[in-house]
Amino acid sequence: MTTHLLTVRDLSVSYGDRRVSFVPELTVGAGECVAIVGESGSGKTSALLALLGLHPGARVSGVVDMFGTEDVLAERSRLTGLLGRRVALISQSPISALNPTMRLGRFAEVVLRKHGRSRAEARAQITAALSAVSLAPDILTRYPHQVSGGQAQRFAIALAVELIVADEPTSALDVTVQAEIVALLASLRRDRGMGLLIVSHDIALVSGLADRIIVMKDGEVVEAGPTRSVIGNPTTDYARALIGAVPQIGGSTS
Amino acid sequence: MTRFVLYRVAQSLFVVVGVVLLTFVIVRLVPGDPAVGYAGSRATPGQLAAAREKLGLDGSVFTQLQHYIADLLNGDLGVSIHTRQTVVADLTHFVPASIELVLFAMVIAVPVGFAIGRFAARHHGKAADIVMRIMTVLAVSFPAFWLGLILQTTFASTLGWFPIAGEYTSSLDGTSPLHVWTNLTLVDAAITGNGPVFLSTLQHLVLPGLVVAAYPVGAIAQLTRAGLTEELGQDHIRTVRALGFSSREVIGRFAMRPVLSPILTLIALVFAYSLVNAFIVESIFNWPGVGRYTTEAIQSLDTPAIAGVTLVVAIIYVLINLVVDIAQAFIDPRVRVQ
Amino acid sequence: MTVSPPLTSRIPSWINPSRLMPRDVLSVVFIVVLGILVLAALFAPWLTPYPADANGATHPLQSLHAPSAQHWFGTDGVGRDILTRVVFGARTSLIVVIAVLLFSIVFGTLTGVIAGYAGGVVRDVIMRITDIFLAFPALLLALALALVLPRGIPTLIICVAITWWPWYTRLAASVAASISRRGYVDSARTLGVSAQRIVLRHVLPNSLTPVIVQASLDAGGIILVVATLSYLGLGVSEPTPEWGLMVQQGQALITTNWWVVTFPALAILITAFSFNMLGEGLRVSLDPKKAGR
Ligand SMILES: Nc1ncnc2c1ncn2[C@@H]1O[C@H](COP(=O)(O)OP(=O)(O)OP(=O)(O)O)[C@@H](O)[C@H]1O
Ligand SMILES: [Mg+2]
Repeated sequence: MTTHLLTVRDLSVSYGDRRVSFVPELTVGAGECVAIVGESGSGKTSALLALLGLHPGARVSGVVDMFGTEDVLAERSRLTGLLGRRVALISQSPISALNPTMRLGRFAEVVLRKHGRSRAEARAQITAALSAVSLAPDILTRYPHQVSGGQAQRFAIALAVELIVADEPTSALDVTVQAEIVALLASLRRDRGMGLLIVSHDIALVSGLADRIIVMKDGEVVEAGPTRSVIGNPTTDYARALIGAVPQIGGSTS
Repeated sequence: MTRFVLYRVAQSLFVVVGVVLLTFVIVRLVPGDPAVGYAGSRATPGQLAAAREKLGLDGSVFTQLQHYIADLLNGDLGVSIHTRQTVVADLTHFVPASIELVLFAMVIAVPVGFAIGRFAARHHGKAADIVMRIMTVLAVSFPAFWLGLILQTTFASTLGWFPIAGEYTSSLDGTSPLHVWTNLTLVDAAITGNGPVFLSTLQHLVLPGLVVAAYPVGAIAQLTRAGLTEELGQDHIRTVRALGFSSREVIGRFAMRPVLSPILTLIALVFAYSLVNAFIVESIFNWPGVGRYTTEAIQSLDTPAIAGVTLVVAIIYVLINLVVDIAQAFIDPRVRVQ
Repeated sequence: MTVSPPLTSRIPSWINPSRLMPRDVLSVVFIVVLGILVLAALFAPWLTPYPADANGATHPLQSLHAPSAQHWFGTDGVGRDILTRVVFGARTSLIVVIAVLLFSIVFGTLTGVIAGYAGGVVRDVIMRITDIFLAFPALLLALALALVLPRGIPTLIICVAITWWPWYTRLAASVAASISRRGYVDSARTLGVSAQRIVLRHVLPNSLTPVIVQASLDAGGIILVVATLSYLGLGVSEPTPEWGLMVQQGQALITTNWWVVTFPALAILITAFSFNMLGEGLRVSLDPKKAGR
């Protein structure tokens, strides 16, 4: 029995009267990887942001437990101790996700100092974290526009600790870089027992990484279960169609 | 970075040359004969010729331009027709007072405009935001001369809270005379420890200062609001919110910096605008600045004076822009790349 | 100078002429206000009670009457009906605004498109010339020029227009440059489509939205500059009705006969305010990014 880093029940996100996303159940344990797949507009990003309490303008209901803290969405203060310290959000466009006017080193330092590290601790932690994601320290003196997408994404991952919530972390990257980032995520999960919750369009990419897959369509979960069974014998036409779009997976597992 | 600075300096020099030429062209356009204005309508031909020579109006256009530029390089802007002093002497006397007024106004306007814009951005789309929007547009739409007249009649003539006009109570010249160092009265009074003049000047500055501040407050607030609202929708803001920073920190530490560089540009633009706005305000409040000088020059068709003012203000403006651009390159690394 | 107004730096995001209709209720309100103003200016001779007062008729016996049923806005120092002169004043202001904007938009867009599309030396020369004109605060250059030209509406137009066109050059140049960098223009070019056609089909339509927003905001600014020039005695001359001039003539009476200054000044404020609010509203409505919010 793994400890649960994240538990979600009946998470619903609406804009105005329109419910754009509903996730009845979702758990992520330490060292586990869960993937959410679905076509564009199916409500994946909405669910992800809502469970982190980042939902500008949306109405959110449901219960989210994180790291043993219950119902973190009930009060802002319950989340603030967790965001950035234990759970990190990785976004789709790594460069524009970083403040354009700050060198990466300064940014990392501001973040770590916010989380209560002394200056020296912050420095040491940054150096260690960079080598864990195999980035050279000279990246710290650069501005976001001076690094590659892959480097920026590694840098963002370096700031993560226990649970990574990633929204299409590879779709803005080149194919070779995508593979590197996936490998990095896989190794963090294996070696450090990090939990991963990944949103993706790309079932092929996710099938190698995820333990469980959730398939969404029009804001609803249409299929959920272990990766092998979702990909091996999808029960809905929609999931079948999604997987069918990637022939080598459907072929290899059947 | 060095290349950027050098490039900007070269560009500014080019603009200054253009400004000089354009000013020259405007001055030469004058249909009447300024020499008549200078020498008087009953002057003899000899007196007229002497006046022409003094004003640099003799010779062909080309030699005139040559003289004009040579004089400029020697720091000579000609002789004012209405004060009969050299324009340079007039300007060193009047420009500081205007700068003082505009600086006073900007010291009020920048933080206030900033705060209003920030407040509106935080309450984006709510009633407070809409009220602020209307108020700031009102501030940039108010004719300065009317605002000046309103404040003067209300707070000076009727309520008597502030002096009606002038720089400081003139009787103070007898009781605590001011030693002039910088021609900035407030500064001179402060460094010479002249408390009464300092206080009196401050009181005299309030009303004209508020009038001049109105436009910058509105413009800065609008741009701060627009920039912040846009910036708050950016990806990098979501990142820092996901890293646990509070709304206040998000705005103050992360959203503000990228917005700062267009705001700096605006402050430079608005400073120049205010300097000219101050012209009108000065004549209403009888503030002894370049504006009052200019309005008097307008009455006497004093082209050398106007040309001098135009040239000096334009050059001040070019310099401000240069400084701001370089400051921007330090704040926002993306500027340097362009 | 690389100073570009905040407006121009955001142009590409507005490029969406399909959203020309203002969604904002406030914008509609101000369009109505400005519409009324334009109509009043057009039909001034038929709408105003004493049209002769706009052309130098004086009635010394009725000097400085307070607002009443005969004279809604009162009369001025020489007994002229202020309502009449305010309405006729709208003509002066609007003529100048329209002429300045027309010149600036046509000339500015032309030079801007050439600069942005041609690039290289041509672009540099055009842009450096705009730098020189923009080095003067708008009112200052207008003021210097107005001093040496004869008084009148043409002078006002020339003086203001000469300070205004460079903004449109910059606006059009940046739109043109951003468009000619796009793929489809390159492919059109390699297919042998003429430069003229590219400009007509792509650059000009895409410049339309930012130009409309800019023009609306500028109209407010021009109203103020014109009024200020007249207030300084550099605009039109008597008896042409002009709001700034009316304020200047009435300012000595502000404590005793408030209406002489107040109505023309209000006209300036309301007109400038309406143009500025409209411009602000259009900027938001026409920005596709903000449209959904
Ligand atoms: N701020 C918003 N206001 C209104 N509706 C929104 C907003 N953000 C998202 N939506 C709507 O919510 C639905 C789900 O959007 P979401 O971004 O969650 O989809 P997604 O699955 O992440 O899509 P993609 O794969 O393209 O990123 C969409 O129909 C979208 O139009
Ligand atoms: Mg998404």
